[in-house]
Amino acid sequence: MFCNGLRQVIQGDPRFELVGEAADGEAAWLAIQKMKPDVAILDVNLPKLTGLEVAARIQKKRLSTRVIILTMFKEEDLINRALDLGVNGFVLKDNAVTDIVNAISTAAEGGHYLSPAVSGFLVNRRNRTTALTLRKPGLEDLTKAECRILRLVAENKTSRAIAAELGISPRTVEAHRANICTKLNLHGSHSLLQFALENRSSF
Amino acid sequence: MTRDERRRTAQALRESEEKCSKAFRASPDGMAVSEVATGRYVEVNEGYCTLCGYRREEMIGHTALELGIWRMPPERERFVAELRQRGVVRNFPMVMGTRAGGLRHILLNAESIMLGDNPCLVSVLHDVTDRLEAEQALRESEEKFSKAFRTSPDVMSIVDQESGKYLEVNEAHEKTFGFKREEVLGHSPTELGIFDNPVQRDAIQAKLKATGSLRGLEIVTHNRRGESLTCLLSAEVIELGGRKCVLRVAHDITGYKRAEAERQEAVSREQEARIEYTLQLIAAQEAERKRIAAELHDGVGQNILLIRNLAQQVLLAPVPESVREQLATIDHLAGLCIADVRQISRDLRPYQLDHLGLKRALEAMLEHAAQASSMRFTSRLESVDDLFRSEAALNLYRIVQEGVNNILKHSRASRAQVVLERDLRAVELRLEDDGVGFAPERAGKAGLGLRNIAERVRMLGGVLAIRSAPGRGTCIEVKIPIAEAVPVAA
Repeated sequence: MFCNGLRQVIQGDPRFELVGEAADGEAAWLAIQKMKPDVAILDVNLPKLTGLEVAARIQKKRLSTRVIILTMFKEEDLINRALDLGVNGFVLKDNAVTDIVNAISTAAEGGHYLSPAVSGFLVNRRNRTTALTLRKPGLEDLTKAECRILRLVAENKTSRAIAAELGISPRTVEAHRANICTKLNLHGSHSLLQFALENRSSF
Repeated sequence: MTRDERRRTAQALRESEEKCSKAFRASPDGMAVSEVATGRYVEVNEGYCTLCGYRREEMIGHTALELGIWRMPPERERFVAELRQRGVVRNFPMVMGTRAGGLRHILLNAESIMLGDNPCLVSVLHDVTDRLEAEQALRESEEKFSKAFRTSPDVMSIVDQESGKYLEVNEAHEKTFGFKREEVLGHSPTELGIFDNPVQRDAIQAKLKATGSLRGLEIVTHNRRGESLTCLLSAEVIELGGRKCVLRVAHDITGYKRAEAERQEAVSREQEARIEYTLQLIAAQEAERKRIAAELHDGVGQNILLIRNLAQQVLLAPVPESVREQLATIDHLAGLCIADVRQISRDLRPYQLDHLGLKRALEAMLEHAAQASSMRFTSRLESVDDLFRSEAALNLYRIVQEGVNNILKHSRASRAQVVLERDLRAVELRLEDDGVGFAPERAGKAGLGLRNIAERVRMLGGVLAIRSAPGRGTCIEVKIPIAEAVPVAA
């Protein structure tokens, strides 16, 4: 029924063509890959794959399809996640019929559209983004397990030695090291060792 | 004999007499010299005076009969007869009367001597009263012991310490193990198959060698039919006729053990049933919450949204002012309804869990808690989203929710901390507050909250530890084992 209303509005606008519909997230993902639409409107609450998961796949595969998230959740953290996933529109179901047309045309041109009821969250997001850029990745991002590994890296131990000492497999140690490097934005084992030595006293 | 020789002999005699009289005076035994003809005392020593309670002056010139020292005349007659017959009496048992009216048991030795021309009698009285009394006491105690041994309902035996062979067993032993006394004597419990645990046997022997006794050791024995009997064994090293023996007492607790085991089993069955029931309850509750949330969200919610959108759709076209107002009211009311639906379904099931992951869901919950109270909430949450899927994530979420609710409702804390750490083989969750705490023994009564936490921890295969004391705050620790594999960062 909800889709009916939406369909009516979209089909009523000569600028748009409705190329397909899907009943769940998986079907939507398949259809998007096949039809490569300009714009995909995804409900957050979809069976099998959620709307955000489909958006994440579109982003990862770098498809040209622009995503509009449709939801009844009026929640800031959800919008933030959606924007992190590169979506171009976030439309609340409350105002879907009136908002969707603007959302589609804006998204199709590469712009961003947010339902007026949630656009206030954008201000918070700007602050949050600023804070995030100012904040440098650091030790507090590491898990307890990663700190354990790092402590042994600081003792200049090899992955094999660390693995033996902690009773885990060397591959696990390697995976932890890779994760630590990613989190701290370090490249190569030398810079990891250097970081470990420099910060030895703080973990 | 020369004069010198005579002088030396007289000298020796004098010295010898001196020695005799010294020995006479100093002897602890009573000694007396009396005339054979009259029975009168010629000399008594200090020991004799002490023994009968008379002073020396009171005795000299009097007879034992006069003084009442011979209490039993027939005894004296036997003594006199024996003396006449052999000229000497050795270790004659006599009952002596004292001045104070008491009786002493004496061993009497007597011998005739000549003092000048006067035939005299030397008597030595050895007091054995104390020894006899001790012997009597010992006899009585032995009788008591042997009676207790025979009739004890506990299984008792005496074995030789060195060989371990039976020297004596009681009736209970015969009954319990089904061997007659004659069948066991001279054999060891091991030979008879009564006790065949060599490790325990060596331990028992070592303990007895070291300390001489053993108390309440649980052992398993077997009767003649081979049935197991659990006993509490106590043992004591005793000496019997100069031989080191071990007195063993075994208290049969087989029946008690069986009852205890049955009781334990019943308790654990009941506990399991209760856990099972709670788990089902939790699962049912979650399923119901999920169903209602979905119903609200996808049914009621969608329909209200539809109403809202329809109203807005009509408003897009030109309509009369009165209709416009009514539609605006419908839109507004529908908006209020949808806000309610959102709130209710959020309370039922956090949308973050499904769409943003566990960590974000927890963060949102803690932000909410911090806003809703004046407590200082701090948290450190490491990402564990890849470890806990759907139901597991929900369980962990509910654990934190329950814990945070407890803190908000009951702790009266000024500070609270939530830490979720990811270690190599476990995820560790810690909820701490500096509030009023509670006595650990009251943890069981702390209500559904803690029970719910405990059950959910169990569902996650984890371990729960709760530390608290009145006025000392509360710390809830959960440790959930995880697989070692780590996802490589994208």
